[in-house]
Amino acid sequence: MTALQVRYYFHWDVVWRHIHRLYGGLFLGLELAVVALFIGSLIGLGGAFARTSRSRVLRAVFAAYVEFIRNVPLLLLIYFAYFGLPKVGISFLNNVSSFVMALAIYSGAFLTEVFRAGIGSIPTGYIEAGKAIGLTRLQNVRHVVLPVMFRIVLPSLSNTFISLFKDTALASAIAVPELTYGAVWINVNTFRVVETWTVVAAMYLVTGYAIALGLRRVERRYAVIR
Amino acid sequence: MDTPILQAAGVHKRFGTLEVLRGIDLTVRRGEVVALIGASGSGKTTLLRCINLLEEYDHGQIFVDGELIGYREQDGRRTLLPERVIARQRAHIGMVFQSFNLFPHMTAEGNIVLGLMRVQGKSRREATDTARGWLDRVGLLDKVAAYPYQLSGGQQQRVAIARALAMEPKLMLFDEVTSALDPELVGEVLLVMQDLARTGMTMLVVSHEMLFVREVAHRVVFMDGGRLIEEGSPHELLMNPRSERLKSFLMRFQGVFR
Amino acid sequence: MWHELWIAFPALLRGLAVTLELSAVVIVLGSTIGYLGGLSLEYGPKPLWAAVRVYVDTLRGIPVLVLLFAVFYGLPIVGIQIGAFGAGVVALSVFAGAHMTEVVRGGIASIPRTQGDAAKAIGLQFWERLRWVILPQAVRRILPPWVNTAVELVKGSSLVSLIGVVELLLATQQVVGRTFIVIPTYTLAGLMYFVVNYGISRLGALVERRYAFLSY
Repeated sequence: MTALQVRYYFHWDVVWRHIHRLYGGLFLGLELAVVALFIGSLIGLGGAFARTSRSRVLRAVFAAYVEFIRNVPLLLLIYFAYFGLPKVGISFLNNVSSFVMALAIYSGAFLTEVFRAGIGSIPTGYIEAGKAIGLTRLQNVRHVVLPVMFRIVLPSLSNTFISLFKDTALASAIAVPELTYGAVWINVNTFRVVETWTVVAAMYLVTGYAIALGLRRVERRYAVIR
Repeated sequence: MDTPILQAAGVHKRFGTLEVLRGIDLTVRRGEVVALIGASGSGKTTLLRCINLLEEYDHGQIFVDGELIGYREQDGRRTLLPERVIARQRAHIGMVFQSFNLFPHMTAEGNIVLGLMRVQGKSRREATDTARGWLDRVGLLDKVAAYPYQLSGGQQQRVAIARALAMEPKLMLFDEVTSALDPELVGEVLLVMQDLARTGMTMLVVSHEMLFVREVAHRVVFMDGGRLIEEGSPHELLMNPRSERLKSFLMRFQGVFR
Repeated sequence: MWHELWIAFPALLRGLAVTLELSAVVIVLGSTIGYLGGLSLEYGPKPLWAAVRVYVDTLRGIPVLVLLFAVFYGLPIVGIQIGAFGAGVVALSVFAGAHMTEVVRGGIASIPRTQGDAAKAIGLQFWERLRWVILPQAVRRILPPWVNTAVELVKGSSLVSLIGVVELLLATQQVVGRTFIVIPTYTLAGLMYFVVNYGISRLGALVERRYAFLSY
């Protein structure tokens, strides 16, 4: 039993002293997630319409995009964006932008499928009603398809956002000062392992829970019209 | 001395605040076919499910062939029997469900073999032979290797009956076994049940098929609101109902009896 | 340039081997935990249910990278020295176990209660019902999400590159560092991940189709 003797005294104050790294990191992480979700949604929307369009080329291109991105690690995409893009002349991106780009491309693949399913589950009655009152295809999309689809996919979007928020932890790999990066810094510089990671895990949990609660209230307001 | 196969005394059962069985006394003798009729919600299905302890009951006693089902009574306190014992008790009671409940991942033969091998301990060879015998008995020997999804509703129900019979039960419980069938498939199942009754099986049948009840049952019991309202021969109950509730219940079967 | 890549290819393959090894171990361990957890959630006594529920909800609410670092830096503190690969196995398995628990629970819960009734009616006891009636049907429901989890785990294995395990991603970075060939190397690594994961998905789809008749 003596082999497993643990000499450890909790020093929470040490972590507290550096709490700004964690709070700052948390908010940065949220920002990154929001921006990535926004850009990813644009890609996803485009992708959804591309995959349901009449153009075989568009369908094939986006099908390949989705299949490929969903099967490679996010970390690989991050390195590709940060180290690879400068090689082809895209050198204005710093580590934060590279990360957001990678995360946006990554989420775009998943969101394409989310929106595609959403469009597919719109009762055809709505679309036909729109045509019947004389809306053009574009008007129909703008006033009927999109609003209905957004209400249908709201739960999936919420889940995606929470996932993206957790994925921002990977930004620490390219020295973006979000929450996990702050945690590693504190861990490595103070050796307060248990305190650091307990606090950080709690911060992720509480934030995730708060987001979920908040989004559920939004969902309830914009409940799915069936 | 012939013990009744089924003896229920003062059975009470409630789901939360809802009292579903309010003191049921019922006896079924060896070889008798008793039909249980009544509106939905009258507690018929619950009573059946208490007999083989798919539902626990709160008060009263249920004896099958003299053995108290599900509980042990000691010094006026009842305790639930261990699962092992209850499983053994259930093996002597056969039940056929409204929704057949065949195991979809097994063939017709496999559905029957399962109980024979795992509960009765037969070898695979014995179990297969026995299973085929029972499938033949219900007229489905050619469907030995068929999966449930390949069978019609009537065929599935007949396999379900064979599955229950294979366990050689003392008592067979039928819970509205034709209610989920298309009309043209009902007949083949009733035929099997009629045949079974003729061979002397003790049966407790919950059914809406009034013609079947009149022709095959020895005794009919009418339940309403968790209580047993009337009891008697099919002729007595169906042709000359005494209670108001039974009379209004039978109104909906106008035209069935010429 | 292609010549240099060709020479570097074996290094990538060795990295892939580590990725596959790690993934396989994690999938097996994670699935085991998943079955134990799923059964506990469906059939376990209240305290066990609560413990598993807390385990699942906690682990699914934090990034797997945080768990990885916590295990990597934390285990030595309690005197357990298992190295980076070991830390990766522990962290990823625990994480996988949480996901798999939900998957198994969902599979079991989706089997209609009537199947259990029919099994009880012919006299089968609890473990017998589970073994012959419930689980065989549940496994077929569990398969698709299980395959997804497996793919996520292969992708997740790339995270151990951050604690120094030379799996495919770190091997790729090492090649890039040596040869300065950036985009082709990363693309090649991407293709290798793609082949593995796409292969897993297709295999899963094949098995699913064989048992498709079991959908209700």
